[in-house]
Amino acid sequence: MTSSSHPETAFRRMAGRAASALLVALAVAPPAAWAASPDVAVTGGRMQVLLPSRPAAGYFTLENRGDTPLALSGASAPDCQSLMLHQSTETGGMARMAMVDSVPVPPHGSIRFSPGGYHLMCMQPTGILLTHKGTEAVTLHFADGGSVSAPFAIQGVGTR
Amino acid sequence: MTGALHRRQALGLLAAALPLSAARADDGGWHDIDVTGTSPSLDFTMMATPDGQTVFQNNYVGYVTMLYFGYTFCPDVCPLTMQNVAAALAKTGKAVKDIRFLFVTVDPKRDTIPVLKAYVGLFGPEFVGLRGDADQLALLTKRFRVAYSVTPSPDPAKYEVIHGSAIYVFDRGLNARLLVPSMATKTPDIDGLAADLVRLVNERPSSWFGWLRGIV
Ligand SMILES: [Cu+2]
Repeated sequence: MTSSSHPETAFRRMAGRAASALLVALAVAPPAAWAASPDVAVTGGRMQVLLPSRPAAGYFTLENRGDTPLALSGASAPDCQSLMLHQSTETGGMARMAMVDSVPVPPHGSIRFSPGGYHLMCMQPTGILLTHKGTEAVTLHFADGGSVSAPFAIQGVGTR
Repeated sequence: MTGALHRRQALGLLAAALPLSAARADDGGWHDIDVTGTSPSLDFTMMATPDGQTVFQNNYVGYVTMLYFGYTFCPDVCPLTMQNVAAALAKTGKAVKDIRFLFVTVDPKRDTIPVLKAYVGLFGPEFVGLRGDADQLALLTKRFRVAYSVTPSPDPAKYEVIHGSAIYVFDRGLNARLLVPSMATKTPDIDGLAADLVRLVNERPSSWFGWLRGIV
């Protein structure tokens, strides 16, 4: 990426062209951080898998390093037929979960998908997710058509 | 009145007062919400993990028991709650052998005993899954005024379940003692829960009557 290319253009070009190259790179990338473009960075990605027949949850931090607001509008992963943006809320002692259409990410701001709040909902985990090891290449989609992929560390329920 | 009789009467009064006073005198010491005397005792009949055997409240006499309502299609709040409880249990030392966590499914249609067994097994040996029929579940949830709703759908993504987030804690005599509002917050008081559980396990002498009542 040259210094003369506009960050946003570079981001779009990368998102549009290099999806398969990304996936290959992801297989060897460390799960710590993946700056896919000058505009966004996904860190701390992890998929918590419980049981094969039950939904798994994805968590991460997304930083918008650009000057324009972004709207996270969806997600996909090879081992999740359906991967939704979900939010857990608690009101009046009642816990509920619902799908959300989009999550705004302000310029130079970040959002956190973390337990008890926003999460990615993988309705039916398959493939490598069931091994509780390795990484899953999760792609986050934005309302403006761009996308970013990041390796999510696959884990089971960690307790003691 | 002789001195001996006087002493005996005093001891008798003291003993009778103990179950209440022990809980009330040092009220401020609890980290969770004290519901002693204001919530009903533990009372239920349901199938339990691992093998579907029917159990009822007296199976838990002698244990400090936590009661929580959830469902296994819950990948976020329920695991978070139970991971935090497991973290608290890990800080209770030897007391852990006298503590149980009852996970009551509000979605018994989908949550069979084998699935419940696998699900609660992720969190530790103290976690028990309970599955009741419609009447059994209604009795237990009404008793503790636990609201929940299940909206079935052929599409699992649209199958909606809403459930209470609190954990009820019972002493070794099955008396309701504490309410943990939620362990699924950003700042769960794990050390506080651990301390409360240990305290309940150790207070066996003062809940002597309740314990006896449970056995009889
Ligand atoms: Cu969800």
